[in-house]
Amino acid sequence: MNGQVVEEKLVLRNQFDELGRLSEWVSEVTSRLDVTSRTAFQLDLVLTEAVTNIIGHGFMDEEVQEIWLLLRYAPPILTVVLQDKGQAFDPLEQPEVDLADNLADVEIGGLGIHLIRSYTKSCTYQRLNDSNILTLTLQETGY
Amino acid sequence: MELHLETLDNGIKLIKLSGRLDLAGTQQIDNDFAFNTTTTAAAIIIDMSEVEFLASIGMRMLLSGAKGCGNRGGKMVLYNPQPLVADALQTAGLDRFLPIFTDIEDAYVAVQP
Repeated sequence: MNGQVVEEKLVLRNQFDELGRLSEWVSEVTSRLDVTSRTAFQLDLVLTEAVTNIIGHGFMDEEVQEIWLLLRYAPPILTVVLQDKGQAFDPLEQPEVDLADNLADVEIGGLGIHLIRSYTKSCTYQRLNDSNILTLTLQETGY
Repeated sequence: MELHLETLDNGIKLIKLSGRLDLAGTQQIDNDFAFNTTTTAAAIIIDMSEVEFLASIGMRMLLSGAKGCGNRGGKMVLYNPQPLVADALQTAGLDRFLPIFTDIEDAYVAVQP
């Protein structure tokens, strides 16, 4: 890629069966960008979790709406902006997973946001012009 | 996503998972997985070597299985996950409840009553 900036776009519907198309897109784009398998895996994971959250929480009615993804790779920084016109929903305000010390007491939930925070260099949320805008950045480490 | 169950001579249930444990993959096997992990007190090893991807929904399935298995007095461990899958499990903190082994003999010992 010789350090040049690359931009890629994807539009998804707010339906869970679109997650397959998301992962196929991530696979195709990351192989073209020649990033490591670690970065490709982590990007697939954080976008899967983020889009799952948006589809699950952002829309009250059954109307089909769109989620726009803009990926920008300015090596070594990968930035993805996810935008939708669902109701205001800040996934970063959701409680993180609280794994108890004892398996029997473990409440299962909140893993997605924990994974997003862990695998991103930064994640920010904005509500702008009736849109949710979630910006995630990852760093290609080269290994 | 595929689930293959084998009961070994030593009585241990070896459950081999293959494919992507994302939403679609998890939905394909979660009933089968829950049935095989939570209905009897069993020593269970989950062979993760052919799991290529793991999202939180798949982690919840694994954790539910371990919890159900433990509630019945059994024990469940993970065997040989690919490095990126192992990293995701550790990042999520699941390895505290689902011990990860790379040596099958060690896994046998860990699940014995």
